[in-house]
This record gives sequence, C-alpha cells and structure tokens, in this order.
Amino acid sequence: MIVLIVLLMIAALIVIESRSFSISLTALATAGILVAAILWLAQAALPAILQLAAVPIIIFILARALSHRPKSDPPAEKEIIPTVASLVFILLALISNYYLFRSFPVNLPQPSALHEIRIMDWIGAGAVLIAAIIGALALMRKEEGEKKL
Amino acid sequence: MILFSATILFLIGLYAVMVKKDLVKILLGIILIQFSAEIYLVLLGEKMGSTVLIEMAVAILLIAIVARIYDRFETMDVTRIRELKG
Amino acid sequence: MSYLLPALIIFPIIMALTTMALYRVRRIWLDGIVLTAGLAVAAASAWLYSVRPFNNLLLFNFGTRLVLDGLSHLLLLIANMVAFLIIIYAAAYMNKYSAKEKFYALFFLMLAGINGTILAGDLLSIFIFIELAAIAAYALVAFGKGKREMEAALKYFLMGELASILILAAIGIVYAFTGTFNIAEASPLFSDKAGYVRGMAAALFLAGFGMKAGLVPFHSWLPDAHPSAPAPISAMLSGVLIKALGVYALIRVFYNMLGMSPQLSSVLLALGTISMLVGVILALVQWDFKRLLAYHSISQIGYVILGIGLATPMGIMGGLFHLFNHSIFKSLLFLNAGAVEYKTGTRDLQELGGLSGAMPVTSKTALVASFSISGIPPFNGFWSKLFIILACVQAGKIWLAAAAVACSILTLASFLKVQKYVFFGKAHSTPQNKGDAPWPMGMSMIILALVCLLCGIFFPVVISVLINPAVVALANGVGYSKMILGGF
Repeated sequence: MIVLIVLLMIAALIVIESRSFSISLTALATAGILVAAILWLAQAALPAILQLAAVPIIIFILARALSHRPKSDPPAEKEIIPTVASLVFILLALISNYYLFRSFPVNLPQPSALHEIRIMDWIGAGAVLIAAIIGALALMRKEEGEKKL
Repeated sequence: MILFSATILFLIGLYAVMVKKDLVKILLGIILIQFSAEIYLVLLGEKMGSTVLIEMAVAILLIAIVARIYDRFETMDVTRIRELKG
Repeated sequence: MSYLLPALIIFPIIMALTTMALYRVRRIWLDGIVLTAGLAVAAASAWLYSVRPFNNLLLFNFGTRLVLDGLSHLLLLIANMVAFLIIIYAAAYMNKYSAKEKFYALFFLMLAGINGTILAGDLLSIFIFIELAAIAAYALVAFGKGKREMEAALKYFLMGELASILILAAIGIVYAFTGTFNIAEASPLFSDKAGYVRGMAAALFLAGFGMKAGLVPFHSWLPDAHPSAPAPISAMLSGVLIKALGVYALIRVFYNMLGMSPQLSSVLLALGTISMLVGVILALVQWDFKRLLAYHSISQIGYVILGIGLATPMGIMGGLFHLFNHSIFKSLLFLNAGAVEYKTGTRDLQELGGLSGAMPVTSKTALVASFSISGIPPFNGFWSKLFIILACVQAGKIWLAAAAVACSILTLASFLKVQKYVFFGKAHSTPQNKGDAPWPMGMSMIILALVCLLCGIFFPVVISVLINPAVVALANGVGYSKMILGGF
C-alpha cells in the first residue's frame, strides 16, 4: 500500500511538472490507475472498477480536445513568488489542522447500514454526469464560421 | 495513512491550480484534486461508486470549457485570459 | 404523498432527457412541453402546502432521507415558481441562441439539483445535488460561447469546485466523527465533540457555502458570472441558485446540525454586514447594467445573512422574508436588463436612455423592482428590510441597524441612477426595433412585478403562511433531529 501511495505522489508530480503534454497524460493515466488500485485495496470494489473505467475515458477526451494546442508552456520565471506564497499558505493550513488530524479516529466507523442502496444518490450522480455531457455538447457545438471541436 | 495520501495528492493538485499559468496544467491539477476527493471519500467508508461519476463529470465539463477557451482566446496562458474587470 | 418529494427531483431529470430527445421537434411544441413541465413542478410545490400544514414535516425515506419542513418548503416554492416564470421568459429570449433543447435540458437538470439540495436530509446527498446544479450552471453560463462568457464560466467553475471541495472536506469531518451522513442523526452526536473539530467543520462549511452564496470575501466570481450568462440564467443564478445552494445549505447546517452559538452568530453578522456594504458601494460605480445588479445581489444576500445571523425570531423572520423577496425582485431586475439588452443590444448605462417610452412594460416593471429593492413601501422589500432593521435594534445592535439603513439609502441612490440612465433621460443613438420585448418576456416580468406588489400589501399573509413555518424550523435548532427521528 505504501508503495502505491509513493508511486501516486510521483506520478502526480510528473503530471504537473512535465513539459510535454503526452508525458503528463501518461502520468495522469498512471495516477488514475493507482487510485483505482488503492480503492480496491481499501475494499471499495465498485468505486475501483468505475475509476478504472473512467481513466481511459478521461484520457481519451483530454487527448482529443487538447491535441492541437501549441507545445509552449508559459515561462517559469515568474512562478517563484506564487509558489512560495502558496507553499507557505499550505504549510500554515497543515499546521493549524494538526490537532484535527491527530484526533481523527483511526478506526473509522464502518456502519453496516451504509450498504443500503442509496438510489437517490446514484440518480443524482448519474444526472451530474449527464449534465456534464450535455454541457460539453453544448459548448462544442459548431455555428457558422466556427471550428468544430 | 490513506488520509495522508489523499491530502498530499490534494495539495499537489492545489499547487498546480494556484501557481501554474498554463491552463492545461490547471486543468490537470483539478483532475488530481478530484482523484484525491475519491480517495478521501473511500477513506471515510463511503464505498459507493457514485462519487466516481461526479469526478468524471467535473473533468469532462472542465475539458470542454478549456477547449472552447483555447478556441476563443488562442492562448493557454491564464494571465492573458483577463478581459473581464475584477 | 411523500412520493412527490423524489418526484420533484426525478421528474426534472426525465424532462431533461426528454428535451434532448425532442431536438427535431418544432419549436412551439418544445416550448409547450417545457412550459407544462415547469408549471407542473411549480404547482406541485404550491399544492404541497395543503398536504403539509404549517409546522409539520413530510418525510420520504428510501435509502436516503428527503425532508420537507417549513424551511425547505419555502425554498422549494421560491425555486420552482421563479423557475417557471423564467422558463416562460426564456422561451422567447433563447430564440437568439442555438441548441435551445440543450438549454432546456441543462435548465431542468439545474432545477433537479436545486430541488435535491433543498430536500436532502443527508450531507452526501446535499453534496451530490449541489454538484448537479453547479455543473449545469457552469455550462449554462458558458452557453453563448462568447469570450466573456467562457472566461466567466471558467472562473465560476474553478471557484465553485473549490467551494465544493471545502464542503466535501467538512462533510468528511462530520462523518469521521459521527459515522453518519444524515443530518438528523449526526446532529446530536456532533455537538459534544471537541471545539476545534466543530470549529473546523463550521469554518469549512462557511467558506464553501459562503462561496456558493456570494458572501464577501468569497464573492469574486459573482460579478463576472452573473452578467455574462444569458439573461434567464442570470436571473436563476441571482434569484435562486445562490439562495438554495448557498444560503439555505449554510443555515440548514449551522442551525439544525451544528447548532448556533454566539461565535457563529457574530461571524455571520460580520460577514453579512460587510457583504451588504461592499456590495452596494461597488455597485454604485458600475456602468454595466447587469454587473451593477450582480453587486447588488451580493449586498442583498448580506442583508439576509445579517438577519439570520441575529438568531432572534424577528431577525430570522426578516432574513427569510428578504430571501423570498429578493428572489422575486432580483430575478425581475435581471429579466428587465435582459429585455433591454435584447432590444437595444447593450448593457452600458451610458449608451441607453429614454426607454420608458419605447419599452413601457419593461420600464414599469423595472420601476416596481427598483422600488422593492430600495425598500420603498408598499412593496415587499420595504417590509423585509424594516424587519431586519427592527430586529437589529431589538437585539441591541444599533450600529448594524444604522449600517442597514445606510445601505438602503445607497441602494436607492444606485437604482435612481439606473432609472435615470436607462429609462428616462434622453434617448441616445442606440438602434432599437420598435416596441417592447416579446410578449412571453413581458408576461413573466408583469407577474413578478405583481408579486412584489401583492406580497408588499398582503405581507402578513405571506409571513404567517410561508415565512413563519420556516422560522420555526430554524428556531428549533438542534431540535430538528428529535423531530425527524422521534416521530418515527
């Protein structure tokens, strides 16, 4: 499990810092699969399977939609200040949450009642996905003079 | 342990969103944040898969938005996508 | 009868799919079907008042719990009625855009999300339905695909998702410490946890829901997103969405789950007052009609939070009444602005003028709405603002009352400016077709204006039937839990 987590962190960092879009995508795919693996090991079978299915879909859409962008990454010099500021902010957030993290229950309650089928939630989540698809279709539509995306 | 990994993953994603100027990187950062939310929820024992659907939905719509923005603005540089006054 | 509750969520979803399937149908049929559906949900929301008298509850339990109490019923009514009127308007307005069937589909999905958020008794469900409404909203803001819309949608999306993550984190904290997502069940378990745990959860909820509500300092997405959206969507956002997803969720969690405390109350008072003042001050310098309205939304939501933050019965009553009124007159204002833009092609105050002759319906309804928002009798806004001010005095917070009065005056000034530049004064050289906006748009605006007037005149009825049950639900505080669990 620890190995998976470490690999996940590495993959995430590669996603962000890589200069090449294809490498970022590959790293993202790897990260997604690792997440699925972690979910599986945590006894969450259904989410793991769904996640595994979601990864190729997302990667595919990313590749198709963004393949024609230029390779240039905006220059990195100006990133020092925001980087430092955000790291400081994050550090402060972590410190102030220290007590919270410490008291987080180690053995989380595993309510058996949770295994009832929460239909409304599934319907809701399904609707969210439908909304995203319809929204994407609406945004990608072509009008006179526009490119089809 | 899992909480730890979820948090770190979230922070990496957050770093990307806050710091990077390349819209694509911001987008990927959001997806990483979504992944971390998945792990976070499973950590809590919420073993339903419905959250994966939401994660996908967010990713899909954001990709569509970013693609259309690139089409309109011809740049992926966030500092140049600033037509509206604050 | 409790089956109506999930129906209010599922039916709009089905309508969304139906609308997508009907994309080849002639426009008039599509509009007709959509309007009927809208009328159905609005009527159902109203009719439920006869099924669920006053302070009773209606529950639906299957896997997850849906709750209809005084508070959620008020929001339900507001959301569905305003949505129906906006659909009427949109039937005409959206003819200027393509893919109308996708618009309707997204609209229905957004409404399903709103209803789901209002009715949910579970934190996880609330999250899922908030996401539903939000995703649909992001897409709707971007619907026209223009440069500004896309930029606004992106900003809205990023900040909105950040808010959602904060909410999710807070939900996680509650779950970790209580073992349940259910609001009623979690409430008693949570109240005896250590202070920093509850404080952290409260802070995260406040940041997340506050962002959705447009509360200062989480408001920066609003002045870009609300104006850039197509007019009916602007009206939905300002008139419904920020209330259902932001204010309602916030007060539900704070009052019924965490339990109000003096510290929470002070925080709400502070943020409410700041929002109220910042909103109106920034509105004064705006020359874009819709942007000005957006800043006023921030300001008026500040009023609402101020009233509710007082945690006294009169304060809550004033706040909720103002919530109700704002939905009516703010949507009306955005519809007005939309009509103006529809006919003249511009939102710039300096380019408009003299429209009172050319657009009589729009002009008169805008006048009604301006009076309402400025708090002029006998319109509805006067009473709700009065109650909030009185409640401040009653609670001994004289400075806040003074701030509220000052804000009212500034609001009036701002709208006098709008009236002068848009409707009166010289007509500038703006090309406009003859006549007012298309009749469906006019009809919506007239109905909303009438509601402003009637609710102003008959405000005691409104308060006793609609508002007081909601106040009771909130004043019950953590007794909510006993009501829900105990009765069964």
